[in-house]
Amino acid sequence: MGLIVMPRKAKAKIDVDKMVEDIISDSDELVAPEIEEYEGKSIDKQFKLEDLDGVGRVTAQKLRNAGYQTIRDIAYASAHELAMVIGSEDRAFSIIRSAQRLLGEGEEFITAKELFERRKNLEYISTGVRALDDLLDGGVEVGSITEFIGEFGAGKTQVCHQLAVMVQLPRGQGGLAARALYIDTEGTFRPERIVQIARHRGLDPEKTLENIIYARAYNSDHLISLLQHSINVGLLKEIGLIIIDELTNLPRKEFLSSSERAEIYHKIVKSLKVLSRLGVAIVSTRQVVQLKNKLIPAGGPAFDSYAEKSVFLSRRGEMREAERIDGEKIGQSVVFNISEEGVLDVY
Amino acid sequence: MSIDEFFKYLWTRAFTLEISGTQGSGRRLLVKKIVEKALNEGYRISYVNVSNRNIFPDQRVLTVNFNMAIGINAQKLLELIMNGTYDVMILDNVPRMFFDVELPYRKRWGYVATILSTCLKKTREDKMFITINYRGRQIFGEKMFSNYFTHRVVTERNENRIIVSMIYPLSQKFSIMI
Repeated sequence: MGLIVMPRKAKAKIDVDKMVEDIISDSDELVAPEIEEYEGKSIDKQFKLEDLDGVGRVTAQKLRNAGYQTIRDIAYASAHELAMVIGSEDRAFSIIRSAQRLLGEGEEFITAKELFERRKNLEYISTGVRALDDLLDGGVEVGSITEFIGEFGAGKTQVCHQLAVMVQLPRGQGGLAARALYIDTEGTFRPERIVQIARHRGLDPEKTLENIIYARAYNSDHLISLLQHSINVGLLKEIGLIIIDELTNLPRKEFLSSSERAEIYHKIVKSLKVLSRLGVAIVSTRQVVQLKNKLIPAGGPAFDSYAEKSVFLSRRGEMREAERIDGEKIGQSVVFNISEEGVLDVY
Repeated sequence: MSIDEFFKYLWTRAFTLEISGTQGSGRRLLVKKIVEKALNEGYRISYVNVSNRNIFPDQRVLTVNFNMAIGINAQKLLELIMNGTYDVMILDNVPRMFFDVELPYRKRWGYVATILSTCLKKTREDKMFITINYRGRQIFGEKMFSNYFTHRVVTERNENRIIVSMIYPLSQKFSIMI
């Protein structure tokens, strides 16, 4: 038996646009700039634009001229932006769905059995700390986003350094035998730490450093541009893990208005989701802000539930504590140490 | 108020319940408690997962996943609410419905309001809705969306307990163990 929800055949055509217009037409609170939608770069070369339903030679040429080179560009485009090229939003929507079908990305409905089968084949990157791996149900999951949240000194960057090394280990030893892409927004990446961790893990420090592709993001636009460039084919073929340390720092410095920040956050989240769909593990970190004597993750609603797994890190004396703040494991915590050799189990 | 009294109070008639809180405040834990209760009563549950947190591997709960990388298909979500087969629908969650739908900024507010007002309208057909929302310094979309809920609660973590504060229509508190 499949676990499928299919709506009954629509009783009447639902006009979302009209319903939305009716509801917002009287509101003065909603004046805001149009959103510049995310433009993903394609890696898929199996299909041509002409393979899409409703796309002939002329339309394909229009799309190419507008920068949509491949199926994936179309699959991740919004109907709104595509309509600006081909004229009709309905047609744009049907072309996008066709692209999504071709890439197998539009399958919102799957059976629980299919989901179970998919999850059996999941790959994980060990954090190098048994307790932390257990807390994460096996480690950092490939194809999804894991976030570490905490204040300065909680150990977020140290965990990121360690993971950049761990991913390079052979599969039998908790790695993926792959490279890491490290995007640093705070300038806290230290190659010396990589050397120390690599030595402890029995890896050649120089090779380990070579296998970490580093980029410093200097502002929000630069960060988004780096994330979009990370989709590049050649790069992704060798990369098993993308680390972004930290997500909210740049927008918080650059934008005073919370709605502007939220828009940038949204673009970052969307880029990360696209990346995670391409079969790499994503690890991101976030700072915290104080709210009524409590520390809560920075970034507000735009980051709410965007990661599959969220771990809150904090200091506990000389040790660090990691607590899951999502799902079944909410409230469960483990402790670990940070030493010269990297992030280690306490016992 | 105890959690049983809360259920009893909630279930007197169809409702649109908003559960808001910060990340890790136990919003989905409360949802699971309500769903357990609803399943025992024989209700058909549909879980609309717009977030990345599929909390119901339970086969008795019908799950619809929306792919965040692609965005929400606004038409499909509205059709599910209007014509889907369910007694209780869980919408997880408001910020993701807002940010991930492929519409211009201004229209997004209208879109989420449309979703929530449609839910409110469907309560006339005895459909029940539980909507997860975010609360930082204030509840996300407070000015725009608050009127679409018949009941509103806020969750907070306190050590190993979830403190649930009802803020509308009554002002009551209870807690549940993690």
